[in-house]
Amino acid sequence: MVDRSGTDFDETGWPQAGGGVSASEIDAWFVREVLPLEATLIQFLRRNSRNRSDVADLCQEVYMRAYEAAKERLPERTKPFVFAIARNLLIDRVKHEQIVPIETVADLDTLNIAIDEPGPDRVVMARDTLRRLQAALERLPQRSREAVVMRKIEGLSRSEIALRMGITEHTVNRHLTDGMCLLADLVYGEPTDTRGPT
Amino acid sequence: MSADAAQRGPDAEAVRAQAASWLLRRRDYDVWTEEDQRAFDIWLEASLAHRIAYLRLEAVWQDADRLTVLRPRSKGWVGPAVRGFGPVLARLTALLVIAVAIGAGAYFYFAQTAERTYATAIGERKIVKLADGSRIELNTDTLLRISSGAKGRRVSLVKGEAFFTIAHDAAVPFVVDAGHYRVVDLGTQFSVKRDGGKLNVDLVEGRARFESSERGNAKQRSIILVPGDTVVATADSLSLKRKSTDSMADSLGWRRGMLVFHHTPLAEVVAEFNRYNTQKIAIADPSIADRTITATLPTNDIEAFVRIAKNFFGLHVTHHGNDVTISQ
Repeated sequence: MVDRSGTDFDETGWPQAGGGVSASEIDAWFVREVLPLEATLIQFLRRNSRNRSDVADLCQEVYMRAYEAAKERLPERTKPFVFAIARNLLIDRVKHEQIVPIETVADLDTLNIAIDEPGPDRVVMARDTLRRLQAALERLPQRSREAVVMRKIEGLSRSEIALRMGITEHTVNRHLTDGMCLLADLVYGEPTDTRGPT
Repeated sequence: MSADAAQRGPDAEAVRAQAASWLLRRRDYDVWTEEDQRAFDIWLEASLAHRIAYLRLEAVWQDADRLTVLRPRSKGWVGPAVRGFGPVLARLTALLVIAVAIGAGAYFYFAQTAERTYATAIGERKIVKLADGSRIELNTDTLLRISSGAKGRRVSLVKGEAFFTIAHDAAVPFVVDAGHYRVVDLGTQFSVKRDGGKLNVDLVEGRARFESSERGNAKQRSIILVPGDTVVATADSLSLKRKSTDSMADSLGWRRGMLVFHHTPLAEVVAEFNRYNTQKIAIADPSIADRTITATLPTNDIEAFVRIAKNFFGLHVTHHGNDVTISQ
């Protein structure tokens, strides 16, 4: 049961009357416009959440609410839309806590500020994807990197990689899925100003 | 606090791990069946969190296909991650040869005369293991018949492409018939591709004899093929060329589900993708047909190609119905 009562989007002029949006349109919008906001969103959640360990869950919840809301109509301006959802989610959370520390309530008033912070420019990001990926690849743990390089650059199959690395295909799977998740974190989750090889 | 936990979505970390293994299975495994698709659909629809985690990983994993531009050609890669990459193919063939040696000798299957038909749909691949230890890998849209009996082991390639790893047995020859020509195994790995009237044979290992199927045709002498030989034949023409190990490995990329292009004109790239997919690509402007591309892409990943066309070549991509048109 997800409580969506708190998701009002007055700053964005949302919602308006409109028909449904197709799943593939939402998917495309989500990848194109929402995912590039991830680094900024995570910073925002980390700063404003009392429990830093559940930032990943909060981020997932923001994504789910954003996706759900976009089914009616895609927002004109994605960034304020997403951050309004994040803010409302944090407020919901505080409301549901049994004990609300006074400083948390006070902080909520400042949440709007973050919405206007500059975020990654998605045009720049698209052009930079290859460079970001390359930099992310450099930062993977060695075995994952080897597996990803063999798969994506050399185009080897999993069984060929297993043979090359002297490990089972099952372990190859693990290196590849780990690599996959870390690449996504590094490409989306890292602030743009720190990108590039380290 | 259970009320609080219920209010949150599923554990993000767990969902991510599931999404990653689905994505790997779907895009990087050799086999993806209808059953897999059904199970995947069920998982995807079970929670919005699933869909989102999948989309997020897929976007990056697809983009990572572009990393293939970093692939150096012919010379071994010298980067730290993959030092000493050269002899992959050599090791693999060694392994296959061992498998062949173990399997040789036991050919019960061929004891009686029998005929079986094997076929693959567009985009499908299939491996047929014979009781004698031989192995036939069928590529997309292929039809072949296997028969055995007094005349030996015979495969008739009606259409498409197949890779043969033959357990050699001098007493029971293995013959691949393909229209006007046939290939007689002399202890071999080879591929045969039949596209209408055009036949293409690549010999990877061992020896094979390439000859005309018409017995009375004395003009057509037979040729002994050695590794690296590639034959292109039509009813009335025949050419024999040498291929480098690299280029032979590239044209056999389909065996691991990959298309390997090396300065390949877009027109050819599109023709290749169209062999493997029911979703068809067309090039609207002849002027862009001869631009070349170097990449390694999954045979079923039209999307990856479309992204390259869009992002690297700046071409215009339009979808109509199921099909895709690429224009200036």
